[in-house]
Amino acid sequence: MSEPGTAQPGTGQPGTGPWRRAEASRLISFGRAAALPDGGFGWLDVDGGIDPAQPRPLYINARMTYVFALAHLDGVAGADALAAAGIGAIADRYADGANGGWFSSLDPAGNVLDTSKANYAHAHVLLAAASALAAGVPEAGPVLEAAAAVIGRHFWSDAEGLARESWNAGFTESEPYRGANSNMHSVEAYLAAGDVTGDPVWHARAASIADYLINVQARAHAWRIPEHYDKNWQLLPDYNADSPNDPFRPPGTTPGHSFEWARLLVTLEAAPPAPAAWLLEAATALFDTAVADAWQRDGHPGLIYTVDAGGQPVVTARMHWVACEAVLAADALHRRTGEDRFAAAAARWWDEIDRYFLDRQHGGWWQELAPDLTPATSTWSGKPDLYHSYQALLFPSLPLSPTAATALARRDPGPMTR
Amino acid sequence: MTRLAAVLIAGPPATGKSTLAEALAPRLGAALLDLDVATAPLTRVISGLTGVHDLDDPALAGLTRAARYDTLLGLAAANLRAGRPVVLVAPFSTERARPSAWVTTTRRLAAEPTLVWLHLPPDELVRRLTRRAEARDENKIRDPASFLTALDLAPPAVPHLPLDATQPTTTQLQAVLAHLSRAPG
Repeated sequence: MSEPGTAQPGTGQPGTGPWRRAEASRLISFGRAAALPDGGFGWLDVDGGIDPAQPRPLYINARMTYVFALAHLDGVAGADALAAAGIGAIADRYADGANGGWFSSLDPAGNVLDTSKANYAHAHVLLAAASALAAGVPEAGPVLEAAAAVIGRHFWSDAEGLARESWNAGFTESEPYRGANSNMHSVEAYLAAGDVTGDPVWHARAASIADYLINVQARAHAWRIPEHYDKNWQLLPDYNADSPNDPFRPPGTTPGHSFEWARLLVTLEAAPPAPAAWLLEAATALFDTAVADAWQRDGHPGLIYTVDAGGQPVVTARMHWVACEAVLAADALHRRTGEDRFAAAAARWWDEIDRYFLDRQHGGWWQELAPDLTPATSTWSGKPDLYHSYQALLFPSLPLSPTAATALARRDPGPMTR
Repeated sequence: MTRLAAVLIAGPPATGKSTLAEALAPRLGAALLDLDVATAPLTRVISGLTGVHDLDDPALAGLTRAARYDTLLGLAAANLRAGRPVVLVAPFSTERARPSAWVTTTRRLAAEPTLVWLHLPPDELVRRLTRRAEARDENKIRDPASFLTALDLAPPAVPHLPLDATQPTTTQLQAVLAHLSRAPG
């Protein structure tokens, strides 16, 4: 094991193909330990063991399922069984047999903890099921069908052209909140579902969400994405003002989401049907604004977590997922435009990831750093999330469209060329 | 250039400028700034001092116009600096008729401006004024022909979104939101 912050010998510079291959392999090895004996995945601690005090959120289970489905498609031995175990847990442990849909969280012992039905988690179930189906997990088909049905019936709103946020267990009371974050993950999942199933409704829904949240709202707000709305899609500028470290609904605007959206817009542009003319303009503007707002804003390396509506820093912690989305956006825009500045940005941020986020002593990636770039836990504890980091390591080797599982499934077998 | 949105809602009296603004501003988290709301009380003070009691009297309007719009634009600029889009409600008669005035006004806002023009047929205009029966419209209702003659009903001479004010507010709102999604230029 090498020293923290040093590239593995023989794998080249951070972010290059050989380097990403080596890190992806290390990351998958680290993540295997999340598999639970009774199915599904637990919450990884900093040492790579399962934290017995942490619950088992549905979105984590779905993300791990998705990661192992992609890993299997990328040739990782044994990953198919882990993806199947994740699908099995979704079908058995998280499913609400009475009302349909899936519970938001189990407790550490595997009992239902949070009975609410969340669009955020259901989007990840759709993503996991579509990807696992592409990976050849037979049980994924029924889960994908069930996810499509529950999303179509309870979450997607034709009238709003966007997804509703959450319901109680019986789907009788919906939350009077609408969120850009869960809708962004809906876009990601809908694109994957559309690619796997061929049903054009998914891409149309993704385009509708993007049009309102980015082309209308972000454009009207100088390309800072307003995150929080009421049930009538009226903006809530002061939402969660007293919870700056909220992991899912922080106040203000989140540059990491701008990077994430920038990549999704480039994917949307490259996907059928005919691309809208505004997508590249918006992706570039979101990227540039996020860089100006977030990178080295306090004089230290890295990208900060949140800024206010005027772009002033609020939470200056560095999240690993923001760095991951930044390199992915830069990579996608570089491939789309050919502009060197995007490649240079990606190279800078890969260096920061290598230097600060990779934990070569314990394995995995630190999920959060303080402004001085030391590990911190103000928002996240442990290392439960492989999804952003694995995507960052994998996606630069894949086309901009179709989405990852479909692209990998269509890739010719043989020696890996990335 | 990445700038906040500034939506300027213009049109003759009783076309529903304020109603549309009240629907649009919360969708954008925008500050709603109405020329009448912001400046009418002080204008009434000046009206009392000058002995001109019709707020639409050209003499009073000429005396106060620059200061009233200065107030409106100053409030808008302050909100934009604080990171908040703005929705402005005013006749904007000069700005919609003269491109140079439009440029001067919008340059001051340092925002991405959109002019929305609400229009109605003249007879419907008078009918609405009569129906709402506000004191400020008393002179207009008393002599509709003179009121309509003095009114500039021509569409703006600058780029704008025309809206049929007989349409429901929700329809107008969707049209504005769709228009905002168009890239400038």
